[in-house]
Amino acid sequence: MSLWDLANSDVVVVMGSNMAENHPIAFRFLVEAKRKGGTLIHVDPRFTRTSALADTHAPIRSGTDIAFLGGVIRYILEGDHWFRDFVLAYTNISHIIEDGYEDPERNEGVFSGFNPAQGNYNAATWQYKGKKVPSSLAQHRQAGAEGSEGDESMAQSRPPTDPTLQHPNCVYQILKRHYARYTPEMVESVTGCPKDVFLRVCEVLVQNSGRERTGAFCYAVGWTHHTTGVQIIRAASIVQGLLGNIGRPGGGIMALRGHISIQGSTDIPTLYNMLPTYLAQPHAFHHKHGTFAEYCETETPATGWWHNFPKYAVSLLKAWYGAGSTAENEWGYQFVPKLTGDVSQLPMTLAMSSGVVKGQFMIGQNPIVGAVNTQLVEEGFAKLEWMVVRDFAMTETANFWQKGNRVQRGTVRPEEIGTEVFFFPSALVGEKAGSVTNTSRLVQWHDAVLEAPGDSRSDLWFIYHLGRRLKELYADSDLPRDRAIQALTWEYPVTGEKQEPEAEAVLREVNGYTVADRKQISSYLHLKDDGSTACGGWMYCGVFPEDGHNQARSRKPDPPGGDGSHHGWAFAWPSNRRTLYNRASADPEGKPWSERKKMVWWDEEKGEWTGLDVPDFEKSKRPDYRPDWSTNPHGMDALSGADPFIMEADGNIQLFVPTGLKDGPLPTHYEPMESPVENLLYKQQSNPAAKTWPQPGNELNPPQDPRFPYVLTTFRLTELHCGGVISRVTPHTAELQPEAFVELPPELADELGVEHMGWATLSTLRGECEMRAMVTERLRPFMIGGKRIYQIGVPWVFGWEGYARGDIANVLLAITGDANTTIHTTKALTCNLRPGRRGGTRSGPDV
Amino acid sequence: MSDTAVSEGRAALAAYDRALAAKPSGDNHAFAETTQRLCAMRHLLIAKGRDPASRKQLETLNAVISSVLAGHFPLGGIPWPEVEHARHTLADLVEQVG
Repeated sequence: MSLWDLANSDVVVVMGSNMAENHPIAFRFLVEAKRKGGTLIHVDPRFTRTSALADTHAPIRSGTDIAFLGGVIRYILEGDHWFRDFVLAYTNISHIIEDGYEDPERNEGVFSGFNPAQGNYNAATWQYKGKKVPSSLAQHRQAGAEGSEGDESMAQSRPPTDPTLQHPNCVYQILKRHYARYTPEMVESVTGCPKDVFLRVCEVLVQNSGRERTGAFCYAVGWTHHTTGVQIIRAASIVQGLLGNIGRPGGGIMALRGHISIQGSTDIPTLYNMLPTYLAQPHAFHHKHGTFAEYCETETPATGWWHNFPKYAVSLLKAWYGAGSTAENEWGYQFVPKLTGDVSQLPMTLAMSSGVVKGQFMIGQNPIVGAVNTQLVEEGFAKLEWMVVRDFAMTETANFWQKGNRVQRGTVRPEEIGTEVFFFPSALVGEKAGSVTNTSRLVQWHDAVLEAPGDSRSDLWFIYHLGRRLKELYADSDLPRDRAIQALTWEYPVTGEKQEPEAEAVLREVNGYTVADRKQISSYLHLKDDGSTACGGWMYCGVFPEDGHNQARSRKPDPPGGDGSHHGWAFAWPSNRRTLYNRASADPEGKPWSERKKMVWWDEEKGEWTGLDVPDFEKSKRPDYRPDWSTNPHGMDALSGADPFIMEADGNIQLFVPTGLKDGPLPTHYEPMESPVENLLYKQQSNPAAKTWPQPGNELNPPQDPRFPYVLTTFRLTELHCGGVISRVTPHTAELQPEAFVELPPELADELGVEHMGWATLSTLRGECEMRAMVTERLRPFMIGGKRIYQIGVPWVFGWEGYARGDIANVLLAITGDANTTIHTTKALTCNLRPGRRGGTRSGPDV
Repeated sequence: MSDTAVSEGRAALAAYDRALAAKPSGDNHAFAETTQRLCAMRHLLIAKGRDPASRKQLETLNAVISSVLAGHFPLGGIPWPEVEHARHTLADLVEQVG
């Protein structure tokens, strides 16, 4: 959904986000929804400005989101509140799962297929009976072992279903059994949210479901930064699937993306495990990734939209390697680096401290502040031979060797660190042209409005000229491994004395073009797998549909009284579509569910889908189309005219996920890796598939360890942007949040003798940091399983640079990873707290 | 210098064997120590110079390091066959360097 579509929501639940403070521009659409009569709910451990503007604030202990949402799912199912016409038609609620499937209900908290020795799952028993379902998302595959192999069964018949929902292994019955124990009383006991508040949230949600009404969830890293982050979002997708809130006006799950093009960094990724626009990264150990033909065979699902995979893969290789990409050389497939393991940021940090990495570039990152377990990060940096930091002002990362946490605490002396740091001044946003992609998949262009001062250069300038020089260095090499860099297309026009590359040339390449005559391509529907088209990211096709037309630059909002889609404002991938899966805004016959909630519908006269948004469906596929299974239909031919969720292999919302999740087909409450209480729902304490790497300096506080009795969460501040430096060095913003602080409730302050604005020191097994105490009733003690539990919170955006300074909160955190994404945990851990200051010295600009 | 590289290689093999002995579980400490030893060995090989023989040894060693990292930080299950294969490659390499 688009941000402005939130104004059409009848209820919005903000959970895992302090949206009013951290996404203030987006929040205005919630204010508009309220003005139109909608209800706003904030579920969060802290009472924040978002809570203050909400109709209901439901407090929960950090890390218990699945218990809360599981309770909502149970409420919907037990009360028969689900949107029956929508759910039966568009979800897998009636699908039958393999006989061997066993639920955590019967397995003390783990699903069938768990391998305790390796801490991972085999998903064979989670499949639709007699089928093998491919994952729709490359990122979630267990690369090296999995792909679409064997999924031909999906092209032979529809998965088996029981429309009466009586089969004991149909998804409906499994859901009911799985969530039976998530009663309101249990929700209160686990989360700390009072039962009456929880039930009020449930009631408002179900009252705003059906043909006439819709609701939305908004989340940010308060959901993702857990070892169960993906499953928290999954729990919301079950709620929204059951309530019919996907693909409809005012309905959806809004991922509030980071300000610095964070959506763009996954689309055209800086991530290690995906090629641009969500194509699978080849894996060296995958037995069928050896050749491009095998790779395509493995990664192309038999059914659904992803069956077009080869067109996107070949076009990408043509964009990268140009004339060096031919059918004879597998389009350059062997040039592409192959994965062997997890080289995301956290393992890389750990490997760095073992001496694996020789050098590192820091561009748009300040990991000494933003990465978890800061002292371990510093230890890794100290093993580097060189480090390049590009920023517009001095950062903690650039001078870690001089003022770092380990230096302050006497662990190491600056002269003992051999890392050579190259600090390059970089241009600010207004000093460079380019695109930003964030919330709503919205790609927005910005121009350079003034010249960057002195030696400051754009990141594009740096990367382009670095690549150009590397190509020169390797031009004469005859080593096979250097062929990739030799073949790489790197022709971008440059302008001016500084030889600045033309940013729009990059966007034109990402959009795609015909190879023969270099004409821009207007839609990914025109991409081919014969080498005649080149495209740097198929989902972005259409952002630059013809020469001179950069749709991301467009700024034409709808006039008053318009349909509210604002298609003239920038570009939302794919195809400038504002709401994904919007076929679901019409009923199975193609008619809008209601006049009030209409978006896309079937025009019988014209024989096509039409409406207020770009239809997310084959334009002329009739609603009554049904696959002819006797012909073994593939691709979209295997999806009926009433299967809106085209990226899934069977076109349905997956309430139950047969393939693609590494920690279970259904969200299940586990306590965070560090917790002061036992798991009241299962014997299994924490996510058994979570990634942990215990080693000296990265120990976890044991569960219920009396040394660490408090629940700690970290957060950002509206006054200090991102990692902080950009606003900490600016007096006007620095004075609004002048120094680091810890929020704690008055009851805890009284117990510990901590005074408001006095010093307090937090500690974990990773380290200590000191902060000013902010004693506030914004945090309340929780009663968890009859035990009083205190929740405290700290902003993580401070460091020793700038005017607003303080200890770096991420010193306290451990390196652990979500089972699916390896993302770190910053939102739920344990700590101790005491009055007074820590030992050691402090760093600042004057030190 | 070769002696030192060989002794780092042998220490790496000892740690490597501890990691393999823990199969099917992943032994973080053993994998981390193996990596540290291999990186120390790599450092010494780099210092030897850039003659073709050393370069080939370096490439082999880097491949071994990649396999050890795959065991330490796997995507999904630990790729034991590749990890075990790399152990044999390392043993050959240590002998060759010596």
